[in-house]
Amino acid sequence: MKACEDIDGVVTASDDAEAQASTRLELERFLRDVEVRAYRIALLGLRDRDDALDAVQDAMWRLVHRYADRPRGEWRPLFYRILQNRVRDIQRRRRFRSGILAIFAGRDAGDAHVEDTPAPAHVDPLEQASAGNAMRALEDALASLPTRQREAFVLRCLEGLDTAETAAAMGCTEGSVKTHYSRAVHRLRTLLGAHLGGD
Amino acid sequence: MNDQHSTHDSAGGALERFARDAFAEEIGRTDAAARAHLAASRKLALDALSTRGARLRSPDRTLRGAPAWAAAGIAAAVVAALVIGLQPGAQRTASDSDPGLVADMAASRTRGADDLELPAAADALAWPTDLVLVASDDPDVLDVLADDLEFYAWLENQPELASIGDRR
Repeated sequence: MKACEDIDGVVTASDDAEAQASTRLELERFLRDVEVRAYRIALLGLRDRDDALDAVQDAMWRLVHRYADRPRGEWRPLFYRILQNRVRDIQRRRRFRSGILAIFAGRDAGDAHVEDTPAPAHVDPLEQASAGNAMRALEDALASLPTRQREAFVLRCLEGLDTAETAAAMGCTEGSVKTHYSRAVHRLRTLLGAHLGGD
Repeated sequence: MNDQHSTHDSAGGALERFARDAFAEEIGRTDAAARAHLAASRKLALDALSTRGARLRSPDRTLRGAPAWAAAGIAAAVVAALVIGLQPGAQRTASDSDPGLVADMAASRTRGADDLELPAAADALAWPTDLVLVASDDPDVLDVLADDLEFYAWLENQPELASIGDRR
């Protein structure tokens, strides 16, 4: 009986190791697949290269550390939910810092109009020089949207999540996603009309 | 109505195509340094998979992280004291013999304790931005803060970090 238990124990440990190796492989594939897009999406919200890289790194770590055991189909919305939270967290810190700076500069903190807007673009100069006008226009237009509309548009349109996944990533209902997305499209169409070839 | 609808749909389609094309181009422009950083971040995250669990909450890490947070707390208290001290009217409340303060206290006694609690709670928030944090309806705020502690405690002990920092 003891021997059987030992054998069972060995088999279980071996299964665990195999399962962990399999999970690691799948996670690596998943992260490799989303990392550059996630970085670009974080960059759209933060407009700062280092902050965007930090946000993606945090999101990767937290997904692996906390949610590796969740079903594979949940990873993508979970990952983007974490990422959006990190982006919002960094934006909050900026608001906090701008509040302190405003106080020490002798201004009313309410005058810090940078609070709700992303930081000025801070990317590699070479990259910036070669960047297309289309993306710059899109970035500027997205930056002018309310946060939830921007998130809905980015996740649905740019990352290609479906409505249910976007709702999971944003932590709201599918109806809310549709509303935010529709308003975002309406607003972006107005802002980007000149770039849309006569629409 | 249908025409209007289809016009909107085609305009929405054009917008989505435009956005996807621009985004795809932008992804192609991602520089090698950023890609290398992302790859290193991925490796760090995956390494955490094999060692996650007890490591992050070990007492020595908690203790090692404590002085930094204690220092941050003291710094925040000093800043708050400075801000409160620099505000107009701060000197008046500093003196117990100030007749204005005595009058305020007497008036407060007659108003009752409820009136005292409101300004005290508001004063405890040093900056208007604190109100945004406290009033936020985002349930993840505390979770995110807890993760920060956990994450940076773990990050401190990753030797690979130095090379990532150099690469930026």
